[in-house]
Amino acid sequence: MFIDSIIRIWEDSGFVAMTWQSVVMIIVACILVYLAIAKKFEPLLLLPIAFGILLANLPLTGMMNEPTSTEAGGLLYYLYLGVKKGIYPSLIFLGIGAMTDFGPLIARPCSLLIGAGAQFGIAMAFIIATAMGIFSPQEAASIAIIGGADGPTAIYLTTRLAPLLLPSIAIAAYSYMALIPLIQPPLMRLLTTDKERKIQMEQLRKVSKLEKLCFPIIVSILCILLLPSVAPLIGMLMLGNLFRESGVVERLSDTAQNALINIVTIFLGLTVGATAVGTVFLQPKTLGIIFLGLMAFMFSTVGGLLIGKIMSWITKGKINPLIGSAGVSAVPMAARVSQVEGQKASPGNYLLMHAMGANVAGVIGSAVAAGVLLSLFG
Amino acid sequence: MKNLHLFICIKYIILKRGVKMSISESILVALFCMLVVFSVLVILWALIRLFSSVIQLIEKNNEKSL
Repeated sequence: MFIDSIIRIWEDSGFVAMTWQSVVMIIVACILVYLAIAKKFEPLLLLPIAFGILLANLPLTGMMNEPTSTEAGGLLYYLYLGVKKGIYPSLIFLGIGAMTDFGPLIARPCSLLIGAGAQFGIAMAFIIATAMGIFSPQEAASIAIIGGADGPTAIYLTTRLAPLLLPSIAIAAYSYMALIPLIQPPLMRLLTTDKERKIQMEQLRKVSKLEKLCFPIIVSILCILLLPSVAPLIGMLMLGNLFRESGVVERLSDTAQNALINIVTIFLGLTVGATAVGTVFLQPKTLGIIFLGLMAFMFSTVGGLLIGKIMSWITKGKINPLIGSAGVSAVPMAARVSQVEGQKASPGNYLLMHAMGANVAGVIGSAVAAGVLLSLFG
Repeated sequence: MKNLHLFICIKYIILKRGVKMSISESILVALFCMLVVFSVLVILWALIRLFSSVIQLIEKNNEKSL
């Protein structure tokens, strides 16, 4: 009887139900945990994503099970509803808006053109994905948005257009964002001359509080009237920014940029990771996504740099083209890379605030691009 | 108006073709996407320049009157 019990426990355990896909995904999860902790690759999201992958691929847990007439659904199923309904990415944008100072952008609004140019990677990745012939237009659009270098936007669009690709796209997007200090500098040196890299830019003018207050309202009205599909992202981004700039809702601003964004990040990362089940993730398409994600990032950097060069030429050398690469919306990493490269060319060169203008312009640009793709393919 | 016409054409192509899209159609979609992004951000640029100028003028007048 004792032996029968042991046999029954063994047969009911997850060990018997393990497949080779589960084993591979558990190894992938462990690698991502290592990258997040030891290499500090976007740990805030990669760590919960990695653990979500681990939980989802341990068999028989039922954590992602849908509810039935006799049983409630799994924990992660209910938490995942926030991703499925587009709630978490929008709330993360609320926190980002509360953390972001749009002052550099308001002081130099032509940075918006750099933000627009840096969406070139989305366009190129879409074309290449379609040319590969293995992705539908909706899947190609979801993969292309990786070029916007904006995690919440990528998740928001992918849940609507190609939910099965969500784990691959999320992991690719966040991994490449962490690799920006490796991906961008060679392209920056290739596309700019030594003379251009040494350009010192004039200090930005002081932006008044009234301008900073009007900005989120004007952006919301314009973007949402033109592209209603972008309302959840742009609306939340600008609401968060209004909390910050109004100065009368410190508690709300503090909550949005701390507690709220941290809670949502945990739920988002965990549940996105939990969709990376072996049978879905271990497909040839995943390799295609990894390749296309890199292409998207590279072309976005190129697009931003080319616009930066054009602006430098038009202004007769007043703008350093290095800030062009900051048009990808990986805030503030991309801006820091511009700063570092600028200082390598000329130690006294301080490009950070100029690059931040382009960086935050990229956030708006990628949200607008997502809105366009959603209007076309949603 | 031109953008709207282009949008309707592209939407028709997508609905008609369903799952598959040719490279030329994908180039058209990509160009349209970039066109809209640039248009929106250029309009935003113009609006920011405008409201910044107006606000700076108002603040200058307020300082003078003080």
